[in-house]
Amino acid sequence: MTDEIDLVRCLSGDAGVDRSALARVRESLMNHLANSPPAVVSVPASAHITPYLIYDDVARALRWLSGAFGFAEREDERLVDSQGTIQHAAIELQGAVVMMGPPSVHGDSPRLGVSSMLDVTVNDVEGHYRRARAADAEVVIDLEDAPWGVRRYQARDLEGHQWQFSQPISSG
Amino acid sequence: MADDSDAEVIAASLSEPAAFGTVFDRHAETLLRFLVRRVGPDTAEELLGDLFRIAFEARTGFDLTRANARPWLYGIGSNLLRHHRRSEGRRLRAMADVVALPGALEEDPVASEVDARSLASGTARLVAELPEGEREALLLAVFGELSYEGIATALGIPIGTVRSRLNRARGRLRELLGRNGQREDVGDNPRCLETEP
Repeated sequence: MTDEIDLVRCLSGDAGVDRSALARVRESLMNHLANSPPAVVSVPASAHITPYLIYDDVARALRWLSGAFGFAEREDERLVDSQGTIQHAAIELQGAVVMMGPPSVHGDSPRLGVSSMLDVTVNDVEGHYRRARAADAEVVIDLEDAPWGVRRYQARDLEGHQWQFSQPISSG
Repeated sequence: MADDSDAEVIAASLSEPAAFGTVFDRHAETLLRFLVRRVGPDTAEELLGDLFRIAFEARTGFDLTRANARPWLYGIGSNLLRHHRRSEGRRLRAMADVVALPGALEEDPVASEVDARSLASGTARLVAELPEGEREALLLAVFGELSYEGIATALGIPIGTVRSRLNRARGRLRELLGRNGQREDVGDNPRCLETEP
């Protein structure tokens, strides 16, 4: 008995493949690949905690944190409202991220009293310390070797958030 | 890289775009053959380029638990072919006419040849007029040689839907066979006619 599917198979005849067409398409694709950047892949969610800080003046804080602590802004994260005020921003240092925004439902500026501290592990804490000193960050604990095995210092930023930067001594 | 699954190659191509060339080398010939059968060589070459560029840009969405990328590539091909539905239909109808043309017959054709030509013509017309979902599933099965599961992956539909679409298409083809009064001796050895002019 005929497989009725064979009727359809017959429609195509024996479609030969044109090798030169394959080669042309391949060359064009390889050119495209050579000029393509790596993919931006969203990292599968793994547990991590990102601090969110409140600043009265986010734009100013961004400049200060960049100068004194060497953070770089993740510019595509920045949200600006119709008045031109930054409503959200994110900064990073060696891959460690901190987010920030103006006073809102999330919280208020800490000017009335420090309520938390940010601990950032860095590769070169001495260089980082020199940079922060040069930018007149208010040092709260001078650079020291802590007994639990880290070299660290603590400083206050322009609006009073407390930051600790540390480096494991063994890796230094 | 030769032993890596498609999924591993695609994963590597996320950071190293050039690695995606391996996906082309593994599947391009098969997909080109499929596209030529659907829309002819010129459009097929153009679509093959589009297909692999789209696949490359969409590789972040590839389900890395699937070792074989071929059904996924066919799915992209099927999507591209939707823009060529009209020309594909025209091609099939033209094929139906050419095959049925008396001039296409040899001087003294045997009866079985006439039957076969009429059947091929009817098949081309029937395929041209199938509902889109049925036709796509049927042609992926026949020209793409995909399994039911492969078709389900390519079209993003449940495997039960693939089965019912193919069953309906088979039913229509069986009806066509019946209408043509296909003789058993021909039916046992279906002959494919040269349908290109």
